[in-house]
Amino acid sequence: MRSPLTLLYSDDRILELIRNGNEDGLVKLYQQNRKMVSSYVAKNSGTPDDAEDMLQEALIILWERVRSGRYEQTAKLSTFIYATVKNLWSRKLARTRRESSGEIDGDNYGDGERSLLDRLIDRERVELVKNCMEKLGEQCRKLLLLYYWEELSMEQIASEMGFANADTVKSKKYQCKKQLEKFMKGLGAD
Amino acid sequence: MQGMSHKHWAEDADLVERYVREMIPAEERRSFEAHMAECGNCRDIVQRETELAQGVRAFGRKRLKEKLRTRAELERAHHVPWVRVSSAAAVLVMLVGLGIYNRWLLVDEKTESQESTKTGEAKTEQGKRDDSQSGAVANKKEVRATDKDREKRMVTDVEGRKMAGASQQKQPKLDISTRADDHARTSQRGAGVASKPAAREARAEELSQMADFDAPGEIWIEGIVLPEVPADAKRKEPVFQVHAMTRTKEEAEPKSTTLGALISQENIVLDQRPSGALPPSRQAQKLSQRTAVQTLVQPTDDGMRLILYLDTPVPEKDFSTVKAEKVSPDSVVVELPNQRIGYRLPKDHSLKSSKKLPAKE
Repeated sequence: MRSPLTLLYSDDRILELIRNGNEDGLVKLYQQNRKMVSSYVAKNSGTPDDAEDMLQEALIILWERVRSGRYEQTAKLSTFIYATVKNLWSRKLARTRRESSGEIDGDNYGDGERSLLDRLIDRERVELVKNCMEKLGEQCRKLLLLYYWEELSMEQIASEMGFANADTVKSKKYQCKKQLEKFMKGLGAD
Repeated sequence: MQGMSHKHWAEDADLVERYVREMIPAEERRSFEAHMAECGNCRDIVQRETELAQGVRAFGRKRLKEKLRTRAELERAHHVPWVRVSSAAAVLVMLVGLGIYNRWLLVDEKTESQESTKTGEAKTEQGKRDDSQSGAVANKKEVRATDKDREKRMVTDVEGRKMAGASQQKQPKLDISTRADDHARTSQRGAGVASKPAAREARAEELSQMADFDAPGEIWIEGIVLPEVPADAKRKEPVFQVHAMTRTKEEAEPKSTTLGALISQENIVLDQRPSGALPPSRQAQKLSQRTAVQTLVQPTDDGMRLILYLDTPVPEKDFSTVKAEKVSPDSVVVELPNQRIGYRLPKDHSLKSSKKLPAKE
């Protein structure tokens, strides 16, 4: 049963919250759709943990799309989440089936141009970036997240972070990247 | 395109970033990718930038996931299960309602039905008696009826009065024989049921103030509050023993008597009632003579009972010390803790003692 508080949050309100970078909107969506997703995943050979993962993934995808301005509301948010979960879970099941049957996953191994070793190295480097992000200061971390993850423009970042203008953001971003690379080198990156 | 030899393209950090973020036009993108196909250094630069972007995104997702999980768990921990809460509340309300019904309403109904049964039985009994004594004198019947009513009132306990008082639109209920006994019973009941609310006792007190019945043939006298006399000036004549009676078989026999005869017998039982409980006709009398103490006289087997209707009833513990003193053949003085009340009894007023009240034990 939805709590009365949850019912107060319409789709428009939730989207507004997300656009403003407020995570409350996602929490409300999480509450509203948890049972539906659990039910779907459970009916399709999944566990409650799988359902939690799928729902979180779907919500993150929604967050990224809304924040980057790539989300177009053509249906209810619950419909979007259900469709996304369904898609994510189908792909995961397919991948699991391929792995269990010994097939090579084309998504993960060898794309014809890069070797398996190169791909593994790439993954390690991604992990390294992720770890080094923890070491950055809050301002740099936020700036890089807004730029690379949420794909905001320089002007939007300036507005959100209170910088004077886009040039200031550009300059600050350069410094942050240098700092991140420095941490990466310190942790063994070449 | 080859001639353009864009060997510096990858050194344009802004261009590389836009390429990785997929923010360059398709035409420029194709041109850039063609250049990268021939430029290993450019591929490496783009690869590093891609990894950095992926790492930042992965970090952002991870952090958002963690936040989401923490918030969701927190919300779940503080989530109020409204269905359960409302169900529990409904059950509680039902239980409370049931308790109130059982405690008050059901008792009322039972008492009323018991009383109506008693009244019916009394009427039947009375009817039978009346039939069997059809030749009796009219005033004798009246006195008997009065006594019967009085007895019935005495039988009914405080609880009955309370329940009857709950519906005040109905007739006021029966008299209470002894206020002291009532107080004792009420207090015993109060002590026995620890959970009984104080309001209930207050209600009982309120109900005890209800007016008694007017009964035809009753003897009412008015006591006069006497001025206080110094202790040493008080008369040392023997006083009547209140509440201590010995009945002989002969005395218990029905006989006609007068108030004078009653007073000559040395057993006067005292009782008290709040003045608010006076029957309506005596209320008017009380209003016209405010200082007089309205008193009901009832014959007993071996004397009489005086029921004093007091503005301020004497506390139960003190009432046992109250004494009645015969000061002349037709006068009695009742000594209350705070005042003395004098009575003059009409000598020739006759009472039929065939239905005397039982002497107070």
